Amino acid sequence: MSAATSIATDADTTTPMDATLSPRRLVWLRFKRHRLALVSLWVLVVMYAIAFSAEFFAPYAPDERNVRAIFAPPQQIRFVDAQGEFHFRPFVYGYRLNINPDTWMREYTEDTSQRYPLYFFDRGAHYAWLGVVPASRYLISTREGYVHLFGTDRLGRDLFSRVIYGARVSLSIGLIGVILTFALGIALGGVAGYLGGRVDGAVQRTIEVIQSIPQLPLWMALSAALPAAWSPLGVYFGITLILSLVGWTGLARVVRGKFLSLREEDFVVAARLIGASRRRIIFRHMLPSFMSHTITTATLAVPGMILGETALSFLGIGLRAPVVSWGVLLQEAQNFQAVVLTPWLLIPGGCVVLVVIAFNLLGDGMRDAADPYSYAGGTT
Amino acid sequence: MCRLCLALTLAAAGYGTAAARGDSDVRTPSASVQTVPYSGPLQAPELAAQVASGDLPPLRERIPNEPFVVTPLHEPGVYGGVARTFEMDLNILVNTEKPLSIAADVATLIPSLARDWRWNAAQTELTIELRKGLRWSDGQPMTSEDFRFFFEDMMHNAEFTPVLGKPWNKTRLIVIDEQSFRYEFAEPNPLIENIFAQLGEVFFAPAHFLRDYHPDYAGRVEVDRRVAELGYLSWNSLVDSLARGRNVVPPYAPTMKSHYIVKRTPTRIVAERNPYYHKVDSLGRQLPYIDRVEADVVESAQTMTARAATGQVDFAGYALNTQDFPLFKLGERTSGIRALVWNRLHGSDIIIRPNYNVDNPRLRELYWQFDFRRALSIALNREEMNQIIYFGRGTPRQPTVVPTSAYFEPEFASAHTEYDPDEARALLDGLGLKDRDGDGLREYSDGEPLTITVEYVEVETPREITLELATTYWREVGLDLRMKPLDRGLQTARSTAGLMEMSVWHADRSTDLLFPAQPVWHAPIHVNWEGPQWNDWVRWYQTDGRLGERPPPPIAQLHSWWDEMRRTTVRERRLELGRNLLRSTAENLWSIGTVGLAPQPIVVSRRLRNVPDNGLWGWDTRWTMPYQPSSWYFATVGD
Amino acid sequence: MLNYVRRRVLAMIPTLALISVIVFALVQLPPGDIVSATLDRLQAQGVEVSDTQIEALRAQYHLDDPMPVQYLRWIGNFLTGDLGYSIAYEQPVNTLIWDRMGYTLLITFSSLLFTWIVALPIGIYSAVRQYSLGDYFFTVVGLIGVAVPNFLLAILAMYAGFSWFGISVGGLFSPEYIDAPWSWARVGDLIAHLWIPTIVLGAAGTAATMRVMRANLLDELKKPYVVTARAKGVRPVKLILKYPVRIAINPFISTIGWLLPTLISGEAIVAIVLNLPTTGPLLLQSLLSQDMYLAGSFLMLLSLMTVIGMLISDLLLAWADPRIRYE
Repeated sequence: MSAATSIATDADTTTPMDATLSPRRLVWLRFKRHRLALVSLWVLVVMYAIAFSAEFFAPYAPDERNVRAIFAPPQQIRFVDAQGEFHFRPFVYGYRLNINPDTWMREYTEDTSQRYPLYFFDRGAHYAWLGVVPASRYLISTREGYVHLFGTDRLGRDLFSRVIYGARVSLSIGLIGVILTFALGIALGGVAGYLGGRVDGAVQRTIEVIQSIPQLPLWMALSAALPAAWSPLGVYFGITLILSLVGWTGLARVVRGKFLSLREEDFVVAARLIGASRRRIIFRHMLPSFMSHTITTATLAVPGMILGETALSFLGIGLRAPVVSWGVLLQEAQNFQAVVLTPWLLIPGGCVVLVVIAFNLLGDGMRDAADPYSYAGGTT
Repeated sequence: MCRLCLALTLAAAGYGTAAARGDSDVRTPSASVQTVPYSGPLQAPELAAQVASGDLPPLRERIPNEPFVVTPLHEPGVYGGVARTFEMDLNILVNTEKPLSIAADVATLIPSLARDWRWNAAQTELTIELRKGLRWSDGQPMTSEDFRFFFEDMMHNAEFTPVLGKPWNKTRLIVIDEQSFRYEFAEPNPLIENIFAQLGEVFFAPAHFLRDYHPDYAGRVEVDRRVAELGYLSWNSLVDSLARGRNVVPPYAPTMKSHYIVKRTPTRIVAERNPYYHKVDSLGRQLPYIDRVEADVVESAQTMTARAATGQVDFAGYALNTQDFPLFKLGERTSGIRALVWNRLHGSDIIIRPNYNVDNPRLRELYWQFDFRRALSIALNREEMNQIIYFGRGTPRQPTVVPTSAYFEPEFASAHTEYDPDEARALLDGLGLKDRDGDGLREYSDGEPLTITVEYVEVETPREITLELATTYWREVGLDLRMKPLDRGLQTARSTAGLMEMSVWHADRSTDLLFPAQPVWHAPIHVNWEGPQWNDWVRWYQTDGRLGERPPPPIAQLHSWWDEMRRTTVRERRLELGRNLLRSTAENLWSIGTVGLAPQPIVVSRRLRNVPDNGLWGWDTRWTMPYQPSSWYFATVGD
Repeated sequence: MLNYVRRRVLAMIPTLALISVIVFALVQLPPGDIVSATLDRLQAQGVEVSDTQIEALRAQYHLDDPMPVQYLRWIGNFLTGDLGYSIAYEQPVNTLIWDRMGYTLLITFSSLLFTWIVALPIGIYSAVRQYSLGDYFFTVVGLIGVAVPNFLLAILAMYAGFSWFGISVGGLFSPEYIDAPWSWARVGDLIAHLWIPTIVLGAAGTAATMRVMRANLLDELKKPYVVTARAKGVRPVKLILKYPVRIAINPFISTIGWLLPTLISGEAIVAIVLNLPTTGPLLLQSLLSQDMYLAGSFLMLLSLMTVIGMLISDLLLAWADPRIRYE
């Protein structure tokens, strides 16, 4: 807290009326003024919550097939049936499938004789939440028939469920990747910035080199080298590691710069003169003083990770089936056929866009809130 | 590698080389120019212009005195037009030319570059007589020398072909005269004629052209200089690349095909009408009708699908998927194309092949258990696969010959195809494979995890979606299958080196043209890029036990059946032996079939004529060989 | 200036050397790559005759040498322009690579140009008319531009190209111009095809650049000299264009530095979707076939392009802002 106060004393000069508030509260207040960032925060919280409890939110397991519904379009949730009658409980109509003998098209129409009411928090097939906790409640389910809110894919798998399970993988890769990046970036950037001299030179050079290799080709080369026999989990961590190995440089640069400038700040010099240990100076005084800034940078790095995973999986050298991620889902939608005949397969792309926008806005908001000299629409 | 692939292909062709004179005993007399009341021009206008200006010899000096007469499917065409296609379809639209060919009935052998061919009574000597007056696309005569050059200077050159398999290592080639030569085999080799019809283009090469790159003719120093200049690894990789027309940088080797390459970049190939092409239509007019063929090198099947569906090519087939039929049918209504439904000559569209010689003793032992293979087979829901992938238009099938084959018996196709996951589970339980850690997947009896990695290259048939389904079916009975997509280049290397645990291919060679000549899915007789199933047993067989591994008795039995089958000149005996092989596959499930006899989409421009609406598609017929694509033409009217 | 150029170019050398080490390590990384698989295969065949293929492979890749020697040989050959032999394509790498590098450069630079041409005016507009409707509109567009993965954009562009414009997406020329010699008509045709990949590729960069420009200019506009000038009644257009924009643009030269790697990265994936005859598809192909020497050459060349791009950007900056030279 003590170090954080020191920012506050710096920061307070801009808005004197905040002087009585704690710095944390102050940051929060400033953040709250950024309406879009606040909304984004909630969007992300909800998405991560859904991803965390995918088993509960997804009506089906990701590999469950409905053979009667191959490439079926999204169903509409209805309250009013074909006879004009209102139902308190929402329902969907079943599909009527006709394979057109001329066009070979699977033509789906709503079969109004098959009304499948939707039940909420109902019991269904047993599952293990996060692979551990046994449970059987579902957010949405039908007692008869099926519900495919986002339609189905080429094997008749429920896209809604797959998007939710995909979120678990894609969103967590972003987070874990950034944590790794963060650790690497702070460690190497900090060491370089604090020690300076030769170490700094070496780290600087490494950063320069890694940044000169175009990121995607480098990712591609690394992930193509992952052994074929790795388990899906292994590949997951492999890809995460690859993303962070390439991605730490930006953060390290920022951290290094901050360390360099902080090294000469009065409070650090003072601490040094008092005889504080190097470790204490770094962890107690220097790190906290620019934590907010680095967290902001890290937040802005998450979408890059998510896009990276998506791109690699899309190219077929990232995650692979049976793992479900947004990139894997989009790989199935990367063709002309999908856009023309089954556009709902592009829904995971919409999710990617939403998350990336949310993270960007959140990052902007955090930066503005954390930076005492912030101005609207500012940049680093 | 190039050169070795070739060698392997040859070797493969070799194994197929016994059995009596095809199962197609019909043989048409050699073709001759028909006299028809037609007095119009006999060649394309620009060729006529070149003749007039003296740049080209007159037509009768360019084509054989007895040219190959093609009767066009619907009507004689008109000259002109540029056909756009993809690199992968180029060898299908501009098909390879062989000594023999297959008639439109897809069963009868007919002479092509050859005027005639004959056997001695013992069927150990095959004499081929070429048409007189054949010329390469550069105007040089094509003669027995081109066969001799390949046979002696490539096939029997220890540098070019380090290991030569049976029966070629014991074969002699006797040149009789400019047009005639004789292969003398050490044993009866009756079915080699099928190979000369199906893969005959590999048995000759443009000697006059390749001599400049061959150390025996041009001298090693000079050849080494040229190799270095063109950036190749060695003279043999260069000669192979030239002979197979794969080199991007000129010079391009002359060809016997209907069009020869005039320009090639890494992304595009342009071929123009071969003025010396040896085929004429029923009016006596020289083929081909189409002026130029332009092929784009497209890496992604998705892009090819999109471009075909939107009418940006005039012919496509190789990379098109059955699942995309609706898209092509949509294109029919909007993009000036026709989406034809041909039938694939695949006994099973995907066959799953365990690698019995895999470098993993536990897996090897497991594969050898019949119960395990049966569990793998009956855990597959083939009817569902048929619905999902093929719109229900395929047939659930084990790998065996097509129903029209003389070797066919219905139970070969239906054996162990019933869907019975419960029995599959029981069989796996019986093998001691149980789920010990509660993750839903089985482990070996000592708790070691059991995983199988299947490697596949996504070409020709829908491997990925099939394997995705197989993965889920097998997961349902507790088996952990992992899919690893491969690139073609790597597929070849890993397959022939035997590095895969499990592989997939399509069961082609399912007709009476190729099954009796190369029953490769039914006996360990050949190693190629399709995937490793039993490479060590193949090597044992090829080298008479010098290399590889001694096969267990049931496999040795397959070898002895095959040895008799390839040599026998008695048709009934050959049928019996062939059925033994097929029965063994059906009963033992050496490889596991899925769905066969599937529809193949072909997309052609609506202006392209003489293309059959219904064709048989696959390696056996070289996709279009019986349909003579050089007689296809662009209609000038209509769209 | 000359002194600065010399220093800057010399500084490039160790960077490139390190990059080459990384790339070489990558090339060596995958087990079961095509070279070793090919060797396995040849050996499995039990070749007893002296096999020139094995020898040629071993000689080409110097497999018997220690790693550092192999590296030196590889980089030595690279420097002399010998990029090796692609086993998967059975071709010398040189025949496969140069056309594609050219188109990659072309697309990258047209995207860079597009980015500037579009982003700068919008950035200026947004800053000058801060909080106007237009500003908000461009902010939203910019946000979406950053967020949409460019391969998704490429898919949509491909669809649009096919169905609305009838353009043969998946190429840079119409069929009639592919083999034609260079002419103005051909250049026109190229431009007609180039705009889709250019926009797809430039979208993200444009959005980001727009925001940077806006912020930079806003910073500048708050400075006392601008306020003074405005107070003295200098005409608004002159007021903005004369100094603040020039100063705000300055950092733009340095955008080459960060935009270029991003564009080259993006180019790889966009080209794969649109099937452009550039490096992307072949790089992916070579990685999939583990034809690592081909992949390595690509990686090295793309990095070289980036480093040279950064060099140019630094030199331009030094030329524009003399203070940098003496840092």
